[in-house]
Amino acid sequence: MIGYVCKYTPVEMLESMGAEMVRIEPEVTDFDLADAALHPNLCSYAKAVLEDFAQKDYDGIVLTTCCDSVRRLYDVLHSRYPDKFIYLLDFPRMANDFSASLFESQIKKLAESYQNFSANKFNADIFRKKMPGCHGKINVNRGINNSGRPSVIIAGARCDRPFLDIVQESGAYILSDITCTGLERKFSTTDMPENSGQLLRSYAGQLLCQVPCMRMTDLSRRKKLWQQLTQKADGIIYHTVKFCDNYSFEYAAIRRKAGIPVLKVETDTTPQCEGQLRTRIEAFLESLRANKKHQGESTDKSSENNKRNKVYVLGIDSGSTSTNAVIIDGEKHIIADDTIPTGAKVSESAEKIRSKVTSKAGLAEKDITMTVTTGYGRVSIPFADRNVTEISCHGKGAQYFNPNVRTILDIGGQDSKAIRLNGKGEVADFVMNDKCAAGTGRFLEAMARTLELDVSELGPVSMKSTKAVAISSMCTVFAESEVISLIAQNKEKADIVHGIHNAIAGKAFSLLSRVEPQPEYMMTGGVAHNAGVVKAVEEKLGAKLFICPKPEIVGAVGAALAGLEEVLSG
Amino acid sequence: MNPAEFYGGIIRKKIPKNPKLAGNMIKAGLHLESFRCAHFPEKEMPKAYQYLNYMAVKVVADALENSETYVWTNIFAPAELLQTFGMTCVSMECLASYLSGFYLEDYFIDLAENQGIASTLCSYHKNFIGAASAGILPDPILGVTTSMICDGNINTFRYLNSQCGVPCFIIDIPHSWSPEAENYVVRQLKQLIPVLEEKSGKKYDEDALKETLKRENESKKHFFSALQKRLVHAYPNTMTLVLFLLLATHLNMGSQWVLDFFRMLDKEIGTYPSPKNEKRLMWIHLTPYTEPTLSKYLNYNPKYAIVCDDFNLDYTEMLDTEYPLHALAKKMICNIYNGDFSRKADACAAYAQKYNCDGVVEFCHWGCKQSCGGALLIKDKMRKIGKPMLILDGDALDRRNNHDGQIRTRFEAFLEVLENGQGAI
Repeated sequence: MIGYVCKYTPVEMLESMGAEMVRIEPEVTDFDLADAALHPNLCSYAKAVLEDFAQKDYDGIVLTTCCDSVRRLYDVLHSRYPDKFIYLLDFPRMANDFSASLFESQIKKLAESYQNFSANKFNADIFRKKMPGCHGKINVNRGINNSGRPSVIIAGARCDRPFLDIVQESGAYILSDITCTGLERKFSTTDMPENSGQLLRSYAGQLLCQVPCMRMTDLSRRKKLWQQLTQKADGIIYHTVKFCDNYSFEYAAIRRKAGIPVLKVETDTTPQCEGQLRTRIEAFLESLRANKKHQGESTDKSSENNKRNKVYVLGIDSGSTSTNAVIIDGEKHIIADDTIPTGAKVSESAEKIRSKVTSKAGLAEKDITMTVTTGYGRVSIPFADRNVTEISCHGKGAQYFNPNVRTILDIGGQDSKAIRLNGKGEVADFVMNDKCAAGTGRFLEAMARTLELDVSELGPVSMKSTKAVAISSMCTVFAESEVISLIAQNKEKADIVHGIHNAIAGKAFSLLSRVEPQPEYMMTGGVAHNAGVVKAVEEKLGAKLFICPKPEIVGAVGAALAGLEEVLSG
Repeated sequence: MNPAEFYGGIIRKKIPKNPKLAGNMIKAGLHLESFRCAHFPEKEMPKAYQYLNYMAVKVVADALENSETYVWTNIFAPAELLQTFGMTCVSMECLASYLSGFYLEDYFIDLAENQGIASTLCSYHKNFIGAASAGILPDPILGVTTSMICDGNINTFRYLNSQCGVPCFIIDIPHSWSPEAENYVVRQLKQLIPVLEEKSGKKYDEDALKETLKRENESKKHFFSALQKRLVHAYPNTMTLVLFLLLATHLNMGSQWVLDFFRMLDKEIGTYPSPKNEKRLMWIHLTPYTEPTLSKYLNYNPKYAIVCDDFNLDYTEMLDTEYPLHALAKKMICNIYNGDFSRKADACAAYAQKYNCDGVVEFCHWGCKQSCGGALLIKDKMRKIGKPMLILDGDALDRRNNHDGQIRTRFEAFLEVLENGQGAI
């Protein structure tokens, strides 16, 4: 079994030499070995391949000079596995006759090397038979979408089957997958000369002429493909891999030029990303559906009024730190709300808050017409009738409290997000922080602990500051050691807290900048109680933030409103 | 607050509304700095380095004033060829460093990241992208980059082509040398020549290129001689000077001023006394010149000195002046950073031995996968030859990404190891 990673690998040639070629789609949960042998800051996919190679029974691997991380992966594998077939195939970045000639010589060297390893010779006849060589990948364009689901293009860095499954399970129709793992291998034997000496030359040329990846010099064919596809799609899900930077350049250009919504999601190839990934994709699809929203939706006022009577909708926002619940009636009045810590088990805290908030509202559980959940734990609450992502819920909730709000900053326990709404209060764009907890409630909690303060004291303490101390790191771990050294230098606590707030404001501003923010601005989430953070963000933004009396329940209100809409429309 | 930081603060406020003015202030700042280097150099700085410092700033300041001869490149671009057309190579790495000298890197890095550029990209690239897209840099006549060594090269230049409209020429460098690979690069250099002719209005003069390569070979001889003399003569330097040296060994190599500099260096170094109890370090990759602890230990410190680094010695062969385009092609392909990493590890081990280094430090610069990915392979190599090696993680440019407390603990512990004469750590 020989593993490979790159679409420019001459898979068919090696298969014709008897190699069992397997495209590596690692299933790893940690990078312990890779971090020790490579470096933590290398592309997560390259690290995952190292882990996968160590765990499975590969006879070898054919890598290409596709990127810096993979080149170093080769160096490490080569030094660790001297008895296996570890090969690095160089391929030109240009696609022309001259580069095809160079590439031909490179793949011939590979064939020779594999022959030495396996004792199997290259055979032109077998190769020809292998040549249609379609490995069952998703087509570039899957045709017309009759499903009623939003059509999306999957683009960016390689993405494996579980990623695509999440996209489809979330309700998208994948119009095309133009990542290097989604493109079909289509090579023509009819164009190949009979002369077996010329065969590999033709093959080399065809390999180089695939839709170019971001490594190649001339991207004109790629740009043309984009133009064709964006006319047919509702949105783009742009995937990047942590510490793979090449595709961020295309993302930066596409988000400006595509003319349709673009969601960027970053993964590190481990399953740990799944929850966050699902939230983002579902929220994106919700916003695409809202964009498509259907004219001709007329409302029968009298039947709506009937429905409003005795309607009570429960919204639960199950966050990483706290669980919030709100009950609204058919007229959108908040009847009761409550907040409790989420604790170790999401379903238990949800059950608990349902009981608390219904009794606070003077209702019984049977009186609740519908329950809608949101937040990280939303899918783990068995009694929910429906779940909606916190992105859409914060949008709805923010509109409820202030219809003029166009941009929301939500800083929650373990993630923060910026959301831009359109004139109708629908989500037009959003970004979230990455996997790291920098700039979130958890970050503040860690800093408060280090400073021996309660998190609620941070705001008032920072107001006493005379001069903020610069906190350079936003990584929770590094910032903690930075704060410790500031304490050792006898810096004032108030000034340190002020510095922490400024650092969070910088991170928040960066998030906001990515959604092209428009006034008015609102901050939601528990951190909005911290007057120091609010002030720092306002200073950075140059505008006031609207803060509602209970900023932590905005998501739950949005969930309840989403439920009410469904009740009234159903 | 030092004057550069104060001045940078004023520039920072001008960028959003008046980027041209901000750009002019940066040019004025560079001219002022070159004046300072010429008339008020640092006292501890040897004369040859004073000249290098002055020229390194002046060349860039002058280039920014002359947009008809100014070219954006990466550090590995064939500067010799561009010189023969009267062009000045200003590399993105160099511009990014200079902007950091004005304490502006955080502003530009954030700007690039806000456009969607990955936060995990090398901060040199992000800084340059931010500055170019902010409109503070004058447009050059051309961008020339090679594909070698760093993934960011092609994408950064291509992105700036789409953002700022700067035409760019990409030279694809194969991973390893073969006659076919050399011809492949030569062919591209031949395609570059008409572009340079058109942009400069000058005809290609092969004799001028041969003369440039002769000066390059001559410069190298003096450089190697100076390194040899450094074995028995103390010669103060700083982390910044190690970076300035790259302007001589790369971007301006082959020019008359660089030859003058290396002659001065070779001559002057022998006039310095023998070192006393000096710990000699080899540095791998970039020096983080703004890092406080490392600056304290490595700038003009008679006890600890960087005596050689891999970057300035990434291609030590003499160039074949009879076949200049082939020589340049070979130089790029056979750079120690190109090809299998074992080439670089072997070269570093050879330098550490040749220049009698007591220890080796590799600085894993944020975002540089090609370098940090092989750090442990170099460490293995150094362990085999008995050279202690320290791997530091940080950022050579973005001050926010360095954690002085952590660097201090690691570096001081390493110095203790060197003092105690222990083996590899």
